[in-house]
Amino acid sequence: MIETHELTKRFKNVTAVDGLTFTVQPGRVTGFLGPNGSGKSTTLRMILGLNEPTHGSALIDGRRFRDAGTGLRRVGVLLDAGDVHKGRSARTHLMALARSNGIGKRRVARVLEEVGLSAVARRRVGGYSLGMRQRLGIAAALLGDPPVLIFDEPINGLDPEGIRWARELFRQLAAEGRTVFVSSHLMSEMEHTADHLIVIGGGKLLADESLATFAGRAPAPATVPAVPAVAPGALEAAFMTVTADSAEFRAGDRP
Amino acid sequence: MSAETAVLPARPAFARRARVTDLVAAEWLKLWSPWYTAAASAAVVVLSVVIAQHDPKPVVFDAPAWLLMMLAAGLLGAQTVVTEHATGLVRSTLTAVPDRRRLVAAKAAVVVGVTAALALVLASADIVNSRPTTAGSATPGQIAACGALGPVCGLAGMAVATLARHLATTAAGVCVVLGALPLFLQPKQNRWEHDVSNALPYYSWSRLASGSGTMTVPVAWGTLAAWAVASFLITVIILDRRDV
Repeated sequence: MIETHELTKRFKNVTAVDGLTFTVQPGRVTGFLGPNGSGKSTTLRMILGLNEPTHGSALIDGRRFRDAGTGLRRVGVLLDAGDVHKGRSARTHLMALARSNGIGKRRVARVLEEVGLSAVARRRVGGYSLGMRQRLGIAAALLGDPPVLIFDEPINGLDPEGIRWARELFRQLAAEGRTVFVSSHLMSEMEHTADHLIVIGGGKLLADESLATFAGRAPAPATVPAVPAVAPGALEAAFMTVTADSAEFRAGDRP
Repeated sequence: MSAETAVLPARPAFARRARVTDLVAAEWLKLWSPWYTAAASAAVVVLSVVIAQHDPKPVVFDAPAWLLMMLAAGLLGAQTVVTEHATGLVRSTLTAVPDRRRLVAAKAAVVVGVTAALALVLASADIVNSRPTTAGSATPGQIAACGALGPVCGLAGMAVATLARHLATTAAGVCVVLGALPLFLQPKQNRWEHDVSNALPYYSWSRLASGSGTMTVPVAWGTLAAWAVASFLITVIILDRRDV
């Protein structure tokens, strides 16, 4: 379980995250949505102790993550597929992470196989495509077989097969009783993956409700059929409506 | 929030309780991959030995070779920190090891071990090399000073990298602090320069290894120790407080 309480982060004059209080429950996939610059990544970083909150707190299974000596068996994390040394092989990258947590070589081989990178495990990460790096990041998250998993935009760069695989993986991890927290801006993807949504905009909580309830906010003409099915495109329309006032970066209209 | 959920789940078969040695082993693995750090370190040792052999001065511990060793040790220490920041790897590392002080201690242990070994290899080469001319003798104190200079520079490199965080700035910083300062500030100049230069690791080492200068032996050792401790503290405290 992930709990935040009045979580706030200010950078000089900018308040990136503003008094966020929410709980991410185990046993389901919770989507974390918000426009660019809404504070998603900063929130995740504060949950993981990478950024210190200006105010408020974040707990994972009842304790501050930074108070843990080793982390892989508590929380599996993919924040950015680029957070690796490009000169190392996938295998060495995972071996170093695993070794620091007392995890053996066989587990490294196992997760490489699980994400489909066994054949290229000895190649430099610098030569990987974004999709392959995402798979490597997912492998790192799975290393410790943790009860809590956090993925920041894990679908970016994955091919259709990879997207389907990741979706099934997240659903399965949640079905095993784990806490799965996935951020994305891909509404169509969330329709297939998430049970519950936490939506933020401008650093503030906009919605914390089931997928179907959230989709019900979609304005006409997108009609919402009975729970749990969601009309195609309804989620996207609902997201646009709810975040309309808080989108920071928006492409200009074509002349 | 019940107490049960705060407990770590049962340890799976593939994991054992992580020890400090596991963390050191992980950092060791990172130091030697990619391969070019090992190659660069070896190249510097060979180069230092060659320079030492070609210097006509009849001293056991030859200055140019040791300045090069200082830079190599400094850069080796620096790269263990700066590559983490420059690549973003630091975020992966800190989610695996949230306790930043333990992480820095493990990095420092690896840097100290490797740079001490490099320095002692160069010292041995110097002693063997100078045997025909100066009866090739060195006191344990001289050898210890040489062995200590490597780790002092390695830790100083980590501190510079922690402050700079960018590859080029870090490399330039290490070269200035460890290489350029001792060349520009000489103890023979005015009082101010005398005091400042004596506070540099190079002149403390020089006093201990070659007997040059006016420093007392305890002051020279104290200076080296102060550099090591201050560098370690800078690295720990800044990383501990910084958002990454």
